[in-house]
Amino acid sequence: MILQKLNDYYERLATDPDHEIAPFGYSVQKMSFCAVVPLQGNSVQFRSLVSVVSNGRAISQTLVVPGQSKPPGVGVNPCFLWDNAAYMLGYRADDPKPERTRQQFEAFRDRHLSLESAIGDPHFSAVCRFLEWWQPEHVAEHPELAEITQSFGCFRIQGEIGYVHQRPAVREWWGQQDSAEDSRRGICLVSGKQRTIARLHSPKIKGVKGAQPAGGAIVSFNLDAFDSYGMQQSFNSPVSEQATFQYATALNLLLSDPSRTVMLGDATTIFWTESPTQAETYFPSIFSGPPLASNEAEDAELKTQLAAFFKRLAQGKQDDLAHSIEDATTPFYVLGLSPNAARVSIRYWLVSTVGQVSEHLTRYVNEVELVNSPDPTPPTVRQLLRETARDTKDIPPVLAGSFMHAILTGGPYPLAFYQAILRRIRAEQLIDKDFRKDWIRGLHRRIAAIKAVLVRNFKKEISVGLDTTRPEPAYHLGRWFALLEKIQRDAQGENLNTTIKDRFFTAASSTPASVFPRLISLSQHHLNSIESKGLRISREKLVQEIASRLQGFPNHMNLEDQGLFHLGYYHQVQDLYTKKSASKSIPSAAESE
Amino acid sequence: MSKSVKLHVWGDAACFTRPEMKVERVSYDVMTPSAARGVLEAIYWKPQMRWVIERIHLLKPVQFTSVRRNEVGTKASASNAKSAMKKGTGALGLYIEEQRQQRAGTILRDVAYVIEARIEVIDTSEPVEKHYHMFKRRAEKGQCFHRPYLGCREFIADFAWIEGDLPPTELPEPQSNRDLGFVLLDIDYTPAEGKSFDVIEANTGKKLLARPQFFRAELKDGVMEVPPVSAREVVS
Repeated sequence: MILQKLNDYYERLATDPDHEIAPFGYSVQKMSFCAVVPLQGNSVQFRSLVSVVSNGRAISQTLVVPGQSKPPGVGVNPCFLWDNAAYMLGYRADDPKPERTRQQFEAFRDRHLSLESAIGDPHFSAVCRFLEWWQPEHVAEHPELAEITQSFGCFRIQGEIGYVHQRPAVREWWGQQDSAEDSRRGICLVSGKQRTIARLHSPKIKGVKGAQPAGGAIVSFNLDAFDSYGMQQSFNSPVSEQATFQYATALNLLLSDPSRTVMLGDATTIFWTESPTQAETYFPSIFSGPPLASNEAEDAELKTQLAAFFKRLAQGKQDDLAHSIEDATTPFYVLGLSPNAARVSIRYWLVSTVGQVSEHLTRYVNEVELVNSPDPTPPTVRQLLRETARDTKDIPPVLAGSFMHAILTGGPYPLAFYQAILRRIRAEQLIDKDFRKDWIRGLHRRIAAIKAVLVRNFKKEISVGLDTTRPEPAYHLGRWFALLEKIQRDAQGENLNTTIKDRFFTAASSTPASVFPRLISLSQHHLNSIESKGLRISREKLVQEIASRLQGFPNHMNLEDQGLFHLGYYHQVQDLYTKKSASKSIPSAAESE
Repeated sequence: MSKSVKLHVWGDAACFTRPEMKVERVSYDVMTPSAARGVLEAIYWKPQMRWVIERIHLLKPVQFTSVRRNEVGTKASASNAKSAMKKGTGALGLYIEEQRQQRAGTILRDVAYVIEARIEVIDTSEPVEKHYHMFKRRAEKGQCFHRPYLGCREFIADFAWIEGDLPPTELPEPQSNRDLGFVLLDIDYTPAEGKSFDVIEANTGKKLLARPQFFRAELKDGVMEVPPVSAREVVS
C-alpha cells in the first residue's frame, strides 16, 4: 500500500500545474549555465542560469532533464544533452586530473555524435557540430566559465526559445529508449498493469537521516536469503519501472520538503494527504516546530500563522483555514523511515483522515496546555522528548517513535516517557541552571508532559491553572511545598540562592512523610520573621486551607502521585506569582525554582 | 465436489510479508490467502485434496508495531548438499553467528481472522465428506501436524472450529471498507518445459515453474473476498 500511495501522490503532483515534477525517464536538476550555440555550431556563448534572490543567495535554475544524475563511482557516464562542465566542455576549475577530464569530454561528444542520425533533429545536429568544433583549449577564451560552472549545464540554440533537450523530436526519441538491461515483463504490483519490471529500484531514496548520502532503497534484495523461487533482485517483487520511478520521485520530493518532514529519534517521518490540504504542511510542526523559513519576515509570518492555528486547535474548533468540512475525510498518511545500511526500512505507516488526525492533535494540544506558558505555541513533540534525557543524543529512539504514534492515533502515551520525565525532574534541579540556558522553558515543558500523561493515561481531568478543589492529596502536597518555599522567600528575601526546594524537593515528592513535618516546623520560624503582618496572615490562611484537605502525609508516593505533586507545585507557584504582578510571573516563578 | 469450513484463528502478532518489502519486512494489512492455506494445511492436508480459500474475515483493527530481529543472510547451498551426497562427505553447515543480519520488521499486532475455505478433492475415489469430517475432528480437538502460524513461524496461531455464527468483530466502522491494493493470492505451479525451472516438487521430483499471482483485494464490511485462481481479476 505504501508504494501505491506514493505513486498516487506522484500522480497528484503530475496533474498539479503548480508543481514541477519530472516525468518517467527524466529528473529535476539544478542548472547553473547554458551553452548557446548557433545552428552551424562553430561558436559559443555561455549564459549563467543563476539568479540572485533578495537576501543575496544565488539560486540555480531547476530544469527537467532526460535521465538521472550519475551513479556514484569512477566510471565515465556522460548524460544526455546536459552534464557538468567536465563532460560538456572538458573543463574543470583547478583540475587535478586533466587526462580524465579529457576522457569525460570525449565520451560525452562520442555519445552525442553516435545518436545524431537516430534523432535527426536540426538543433540536436547543431549541438553535434559544436561538440566536433569545440576543443577543451577554447576554455581560455571564456574566462566567465570559472564562475558559472558550479552546477550542471545544458544547450540552447541561438535565437531559439527553449533548450535543446526540450525539443519534441529529442523527447520523442528519448521516450522510446528502453532500459538496455535484460528486460522482463510482468504485472506491476503497484499499477496492476503489464509493464517492464524493474530489476533495481531507482532513483535512490535520499534525505533519510542516517542513511547513506548517495541514497538508499526501500525495495532491494542483495543476499540470496531474500530470493524466492529463483528470482533475483527486484524481480522478487514485480514493480514496473515506471511505478518505481514514480514512487521514488514522489518520496524524494516529500523528503526534501522541510515542512513535511520530521526527524525524531531514529526515524524520518513524512506527512501527506491524498488531495492538497494545508493540514499536510501544518501538522508536522506539532512534532518538530515550524520549518525554518528563508528570511525573517517570512519566518515571523509563519510563526503567527502557526500560533493562530494551534490556538484554534486548542479551542477545539475544527480548523476552517486548515481544512474545510469536506476535507475532513481526506486520507492522511504518515510514513516513518529509518535507515539500515543501504536499505531504508519502514519504521511505521499510518493511514488516517485529516479529520481524525486533527482531532488527535487537538487532544494533544489541550493536554499540554498550561497557564503562563513561555511559548506562544504548544510544546512540540521534539521539545518534550528533549526533556527525557540530559543530552539530545541520549533520547531513546524507541521513545520518539511510540510517543509520536500515541499522539497521531490517540492511544496512551508510553509510560517510559513519563518515567523519564520524572527522573529528569529529580535529577536536574540544580544542574539545570548551569547546564541549560532554556531551563525555564524546559521545566514548563516537563510539567506539560506530566499533565498530558496524567490526563490521557491516568484519566484525570486537569485544568490549565490552579484547581483548589482537587481530591488528590498529592496535588495539595505539591501546592503546600510551593507555599512553604514562598514563605521562606517572603521571610528571607526573593533572591535567595538556595531554598528548601533545592534540598527537599525530591524527598517531598516521593516520601512526603519523611520531610514534611520537618519543613512545616521550619516554616513556622520563617512565618514569624515575615515583617508584614498582613502577608503573614494571608500565608497562614492559605496554609490552613491546604492543610484542611490533607489527612496526614503518605509515606510513599507512586508515579501517578508524583506527577500530581509536580503539577500542584507548578500550579501553586504560578498562582502565587501571578496575583502579585501578571507581567512578572514567568521570570520570578523561574527564580523560585 | 466441495464443502466449506470456517476456522477462527488468532494470535498476538503476525507478519504476512509483502514481497516488495520482504527484506525489511512490512506486513500486509490482512492475512493473505496463501497464509490462510498454510494454517489449514497445518491442521489437515492430504495429497488427495486441495484447500481453496473463499474469504477471510477481519475481526480486529489493523495495528502495526515495529521490531528488530536477528535473521540469517544466506540459504544453505543446494549444490553443496548435492556434492556431499555424491561424495558421502562435505561441509553443509550454516553458522548463524556468521550470517547474522539484524533487520527491522513492521508487523501486525493482536490479530484475529475467520478463514472460510472449501475442500476440493483431486482423487475422486474418496468422498469430500471424509476430508471434511477429518478436518473437523482435528480442528475441534486442537490437533495439528505442526503448529499453525500467522505468516512467520515465530508468530504462532491459536485456532478454533466454528459451527454457526462467527465470533463478534471488533473492527471499527471506518476500517471495515477499504481498498487493500494488490495482495498475493498464491503461487501458481506449472510443470516446467525446457531447462529452466524454479522449484522441484518434494514428493515427485518434478521440475516446476512458480508464478506468483496477485489480486486486487478489497475489504467490504470487514470481509476480504478471495477470487478463485482462474478468475479474471487475478493477475500473474
